[in-house]
Amino acid sequence: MNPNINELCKDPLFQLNLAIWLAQPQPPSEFYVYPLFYESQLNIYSIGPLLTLPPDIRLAVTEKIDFQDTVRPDLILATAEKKKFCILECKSSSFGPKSSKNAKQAKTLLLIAGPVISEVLGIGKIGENEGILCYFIGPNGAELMEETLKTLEKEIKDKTSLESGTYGCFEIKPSQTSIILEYPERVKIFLNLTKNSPVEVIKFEEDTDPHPLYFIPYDPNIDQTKEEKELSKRILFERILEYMICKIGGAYIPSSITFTTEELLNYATFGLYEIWEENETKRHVRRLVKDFLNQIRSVISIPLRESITYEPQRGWIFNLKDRETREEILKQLQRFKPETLDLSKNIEPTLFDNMED
Amino acid sequence: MDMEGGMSDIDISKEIKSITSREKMIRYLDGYSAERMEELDERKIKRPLVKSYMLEHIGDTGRQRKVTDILAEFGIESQKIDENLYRILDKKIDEGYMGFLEVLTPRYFVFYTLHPSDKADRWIKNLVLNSPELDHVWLSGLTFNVLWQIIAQISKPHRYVSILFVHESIYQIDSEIYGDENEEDKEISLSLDEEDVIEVVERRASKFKLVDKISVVQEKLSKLQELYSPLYAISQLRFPSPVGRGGHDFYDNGKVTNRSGNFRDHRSHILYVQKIYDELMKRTEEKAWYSMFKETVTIPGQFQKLIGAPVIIKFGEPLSKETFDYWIKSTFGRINNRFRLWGNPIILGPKKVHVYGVDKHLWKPIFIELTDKHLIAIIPKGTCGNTIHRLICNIQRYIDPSAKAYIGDVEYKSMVEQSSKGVKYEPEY
Repeated sequence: MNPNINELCKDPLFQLNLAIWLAQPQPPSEFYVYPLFYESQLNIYSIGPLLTLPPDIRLAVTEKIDFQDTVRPDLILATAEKKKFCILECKSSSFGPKSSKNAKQAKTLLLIAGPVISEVLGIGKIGENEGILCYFIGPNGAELMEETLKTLEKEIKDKTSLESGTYGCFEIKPSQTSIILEYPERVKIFLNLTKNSPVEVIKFEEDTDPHPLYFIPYDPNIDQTKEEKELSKRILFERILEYMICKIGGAYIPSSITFTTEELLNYATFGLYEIWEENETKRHVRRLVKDFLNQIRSVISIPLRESITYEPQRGWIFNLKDRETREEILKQLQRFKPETLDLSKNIEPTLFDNMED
Repeated sequence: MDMEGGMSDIDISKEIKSITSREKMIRYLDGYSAERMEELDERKIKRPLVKSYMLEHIGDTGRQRKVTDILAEFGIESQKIDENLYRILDKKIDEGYMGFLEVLTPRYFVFYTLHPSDKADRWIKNLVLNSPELDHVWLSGLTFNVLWQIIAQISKPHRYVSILFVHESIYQIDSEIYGDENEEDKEISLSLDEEDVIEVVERRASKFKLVDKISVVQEKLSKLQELYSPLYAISQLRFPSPVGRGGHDFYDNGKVTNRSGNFRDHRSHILYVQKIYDELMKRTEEKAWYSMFKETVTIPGQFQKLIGAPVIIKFGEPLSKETFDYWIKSTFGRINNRFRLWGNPIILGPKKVHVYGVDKHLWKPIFIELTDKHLIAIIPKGTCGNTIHRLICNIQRYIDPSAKAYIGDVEYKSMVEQSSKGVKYEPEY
């Protein structure tokens, strides 16, 4: 089982999980994903934070350059003493300076990575901290991306006289034996990375898919290949199912357990669901979960099915009236296989989408 | 050794019932232990030895209930002797008085009993099996190796130590047996109570006891372990009693048999090991628990930090394809399996699977990558740290006795060593 490694390296969800793994403590000689960030004393400062430019900066740039009122980079890394910050954005491929949405986001992030970073993060006075904007990018994307960032930096300087943060790209690509990370010397120096580029981060095993365990299994706001999307969906469903089994297995008897879509999604995404913007994609993922729960309910044997009800304002309610009911529900849930579902299926909106639990 | 003229369960129950204070319990069990020691010397045991079972409440402090309330759910009455000591009466199946429960901390307690091993073992096992809030205290081979070093330090070199090594490569099988789907189906339909009777054909098993002078074992054991890896899989270890002959046999599932003539010393050793275990548990959970930590900043909104560390168990030698396949199949293909894990394996290669699963001992989540070379686990916050210790115990016992474990970049063994430092050894004599 060997996925298209080039496509995998481009996948923003893979990139985000890879970045998280790079920051995980692991045994020095027995690493799983080479802990480049951890070794370089870079810690995860925040996942998906909502950032805005301070009012004076917004005033200074309005009508001079395009920018976003709010941005949500994928990850922020910080050095141990929290003096330097790396704003990390995952992108499948590079984009040009005229790409409206991406360029707007990049300009905003470049400004945030500048001297205002202390204020934006609320950690100190202007100039006390330094920032860098880094992109995780798929194979052969770094060169063009660096060019774009250079152009955007110049545009900011020329039109606003404001100082941007420095920038750079981590290009993720396969070698013969592993997935490697390539980065320019200035990124290495700024972040005080312990290794020279390129670094082997995941070693290949024969006929084996190099995916690491996913911390964040799903993000409805990104473009993925069909295969990656199906895997993400499968992991999301496995985690939802696992959560339900845990909660029912550990419940007091008799009791009734209620699952809301939000609770299930928050659990399954390590809390990221609640920071996703409320838009069509977020509604889509809720529909996905509702459909998944309906599928679960449909495979529960008929007499037991009466113990599971759905109330639009509350969610799914499992009525565990006695131990036998609990044991039987658990047994049937444990036999449920999300892999047998049609993971490529699109869930269409319904009239009742707004009746959230 | 045979038991001669033994007493009935009813007699034992009556004696337990008659004890009304802590002092009486200590005196009674002390005298009882001394009598058994004499009988052991004469090799004529008349009554069962005193046994203790170290138990643990799940680590989730938010929902911790009193142990007496948990027992009540199973028809077990806890009759208060003092603030932390109870007489235990099993009313549900008319077992009578089973023993005494001492609550050491809200998280840890110990059950003392005079009932024979088969009865007491079964009773405790069923209790743990049926309660998602209770578990044994799990002492892995790696923990025992550190405890053994402590024994070597605190005991006189001429004293005898007894060490039991158990390793069963139950997943090392013939391909012929592996192909037997019907057998697998049969096992899937077994109920929880039948879990123990599942027979898996063993291909390699090492179980033997080493009894020798501490000085001799100290000189030889580490060399022998390098030569023969099952010797890392210590599953029982005796702390020699400092007050006389015999000692206290600690098992990997927290059972402790008093083979000394002194109950107070027996209890002291339990308290000592429990303190080390508690410290180890705190360190493990502090480091390994994954959670999204929310930090509010002035402008704007919340910052989400991910904190935690993966648990990595590295095998000494890669597993064969057959062993790997059988391990995965027998663990995740059966609702009831030795590791008590549930999950649907996501197959990523001939020797790599991911499982976003459940530790069914306590019904808590665990995400695992299994390959022929390692097991990596992500333990979300709230999953009890003893999931990790049990996992290490089971890996050493059934997969690879020489496996090394890490919590993040810290070797588990050094974490046990650190946990034992600063815990005072306080025998009551």
